[in-house]
Amino acid sequence: MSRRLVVENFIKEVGSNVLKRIVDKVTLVNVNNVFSDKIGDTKYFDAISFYQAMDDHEVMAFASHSKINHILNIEDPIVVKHLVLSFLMITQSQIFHTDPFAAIMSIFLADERAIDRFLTKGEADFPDDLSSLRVSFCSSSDKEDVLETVSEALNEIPGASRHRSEIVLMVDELFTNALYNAPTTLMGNISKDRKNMVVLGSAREAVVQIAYDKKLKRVYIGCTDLFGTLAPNALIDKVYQTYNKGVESSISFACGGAGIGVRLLFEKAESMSICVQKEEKSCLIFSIDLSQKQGGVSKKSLHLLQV
Amino acid sequence: MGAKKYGVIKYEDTLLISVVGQLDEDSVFPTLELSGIKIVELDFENMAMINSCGIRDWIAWLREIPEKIQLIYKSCPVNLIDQINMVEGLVRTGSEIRSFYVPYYCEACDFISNHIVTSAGSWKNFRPAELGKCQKCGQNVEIDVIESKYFKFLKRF
Repeated sequence: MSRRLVVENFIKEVGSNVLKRIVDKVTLVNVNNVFSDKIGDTKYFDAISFYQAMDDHEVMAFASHSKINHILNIEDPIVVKHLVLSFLMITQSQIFHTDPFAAIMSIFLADERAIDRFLTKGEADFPDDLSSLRVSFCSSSDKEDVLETVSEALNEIPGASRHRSEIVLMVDELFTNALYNAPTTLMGNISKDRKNMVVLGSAREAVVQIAYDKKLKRVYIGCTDLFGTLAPNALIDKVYQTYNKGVESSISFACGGAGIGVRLLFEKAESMSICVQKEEKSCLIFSIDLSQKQGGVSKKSLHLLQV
Repeated sequence: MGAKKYGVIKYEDTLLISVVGQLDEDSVFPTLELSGIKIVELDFENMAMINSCGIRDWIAWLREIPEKIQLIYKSCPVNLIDQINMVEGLVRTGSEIRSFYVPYYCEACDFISNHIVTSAGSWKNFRPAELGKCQKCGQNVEIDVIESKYFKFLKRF
């Protein structure tokens, strides 16, 4: 059966099993069907798209050209959770305002019954008592402590040792992004030299969070800053250009960041969720499947929400 | 936190540089005295991590080394090979990768061991050992990378 048809059948199944008042609010798009270089004119707002067996370059090309905020791999074992997250981001975005990391984790860590209740009855009663590691920081001098705390926490997670260096690298990139990119964008895109020390006021403290799904052996790595300057679509375009032009050609050799940090994050992750409240907060969450070998997998799902 | 210490040893026409610690935004790269030097050996045995700023600064530093000087990469850790596979400029054309690490994972006791492999002059017929015994519990270990992705860089050498 062709990939296009497999995805088409998946969408039909979603359409017939999900509560009509939920599924009617969104457009379900078959990426394998509509994907082409000419998709630039396509504007699917409030759409959820599905794909099978596409590589990361193709997924980013689709994300960049279509501007669809939810792209799900139907082969992902938790695709149904991604589906629920997409529905909620589209229809009830306010639940991601206060604590986006907790709100997203409540779906990713929910049990199957809660997911099923939402899809069939519309009841969004997800757990809100989730425990996660929280490490806050407000200065570039906090970096060593943050990375050490995360590394030590991974000792308590079975199977995390094989992904330790990848997770620590991801936290390193998120840390730098929160301290240097988030505030400087607000000040007119001044590229701050990463060798210079940065201290944020305590009211702007950023936080790295790590959550663990014991059953599915997944680690979620998140970072929230209190600037809300991240532009999700621009970020997607940037990652796409690293595939299109090559990573080396995308590196910025000027003062400031190298401009490839998000590609490094995306490369390692199996899902990426970005939630931005303009001028309030930005939250980025990446997940790693601990049962997979090192180096990242090509089965990524992604979510973008900007309010 | 970045690598600020480099062991730099000169013997005959070769310069041996050991990279220690993290290659990141705080790294200060050594200024090299290259008169009479034909080979630069870069030893990554003690490199801990390389992030996006480290990648950028490393490439910029490499560009200062004249093309006629042969670069040899030794003991490349897994995190460096990951980045070499993504960013070609981390190893410029004509360089040699003499040795690198391959990770193995024991699911029984959650133990990772990294094994170094050294070039026998060419990587053309290289095949990694797929299975072995865990040095901690004796159970079978398996190679802990997606081979088609991890060994991709060898096609260049």
